[in-house]
Amino acid sequence: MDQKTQTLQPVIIYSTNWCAYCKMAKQYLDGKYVPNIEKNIEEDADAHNELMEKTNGNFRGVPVIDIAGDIILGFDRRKIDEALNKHGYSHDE
Amino acid sequence: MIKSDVDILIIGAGPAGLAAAVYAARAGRSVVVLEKALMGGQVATIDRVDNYPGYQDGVDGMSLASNMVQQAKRFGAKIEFGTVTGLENDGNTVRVHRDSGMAITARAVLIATGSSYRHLNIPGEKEYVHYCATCDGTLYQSKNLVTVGGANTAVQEALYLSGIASHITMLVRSYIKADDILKDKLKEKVEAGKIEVLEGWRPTEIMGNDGAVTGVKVANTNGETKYIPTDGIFVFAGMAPNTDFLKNTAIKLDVDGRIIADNYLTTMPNVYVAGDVRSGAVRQIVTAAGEGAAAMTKINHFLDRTEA
Repeated sequence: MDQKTQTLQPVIIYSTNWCAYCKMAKQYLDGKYVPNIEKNIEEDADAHNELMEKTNGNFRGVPVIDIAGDIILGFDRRKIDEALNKHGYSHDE
Repeated sequence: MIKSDVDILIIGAGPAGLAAAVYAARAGRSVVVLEKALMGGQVATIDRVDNYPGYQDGVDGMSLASNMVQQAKRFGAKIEFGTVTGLENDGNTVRVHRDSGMAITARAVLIATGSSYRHLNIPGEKEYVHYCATCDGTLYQSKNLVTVGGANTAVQEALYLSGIASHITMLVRSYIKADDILKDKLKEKVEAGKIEVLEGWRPTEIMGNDGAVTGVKVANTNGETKYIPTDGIFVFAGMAPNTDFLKNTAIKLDVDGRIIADNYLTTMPNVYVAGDVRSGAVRQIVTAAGEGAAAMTKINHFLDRTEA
């Protein structure tokens, strides 16, 4: 992990207990050494409310990924890569 | 010596691709598996698998998928994310193009891309429909839901959702076509008032307001229509093969878009197919894994014969 990456805020993955695509998203970010945290909206009411606020209640399922304020719906690698590049996270591809 | 980046490239990391990867790696071949979205494939989204041999008490799909991935890695298979956009035979090797713009060459390719949720193509689907009960079902605690579909997966997922939601209305285009064991469980839920089954009805439009579903317009085979208020809708209307990336290639598809093969060999030399994406496949987890092993055995024999 380079110095720049360490100063970036972690990417947030909003997930549920049985969401396979959420686990994939985490593996994907881990594989790129992107700092990330998972927030389980099934078990954490604050996380649920936080997600509803970020999506203005227009929420259609998990994962939802917050990359420095850019909200990505679903495990969409192209959009994730674009947002990571835009915000200067390490990107090893 | 035939030069290539790898001996074998496998497209798709579901049960077929991962079983094949085990057989390739154990035969001493260099093997790369490219997966577009979900390691383990659709299996990883199923809450419970009870018909895969070796798991006497059943297993959750995510664990089964993860075990398959780890097993293939243990023997040296390289499994990575990647989307394939096309492929062509270069003579002795196959050149596989990736969305990153890079290409990879292999002496043999196995297509094991499986299938994805079939869409309804009705208004409101893009905005409101869920396809993964285990992912998104939890959002509908004590709410009313509508599900679409009447085959094994649809019944299994409706049963799963009935443990979360207060009531489920199942829309079934024709009639329930599930295994008896699932039909029995469904009957119990119907008798308990948790699930209502509407056979002969299909959705025609999903209505919503401010990002939330309000109801579903439905029609039956007699042309009657009605409106069902609901809080959410899940669609389990079967699967469509993942073969869009083959449209401009020499690989022949059947009328449903599945790959035509003779003994796992497609109409493109050096390119094989296994699992749900193969025309004529039984489309079960266990048969997909079996096809992966069988196809890779063919590939290993082919590579042995063409070894320089």
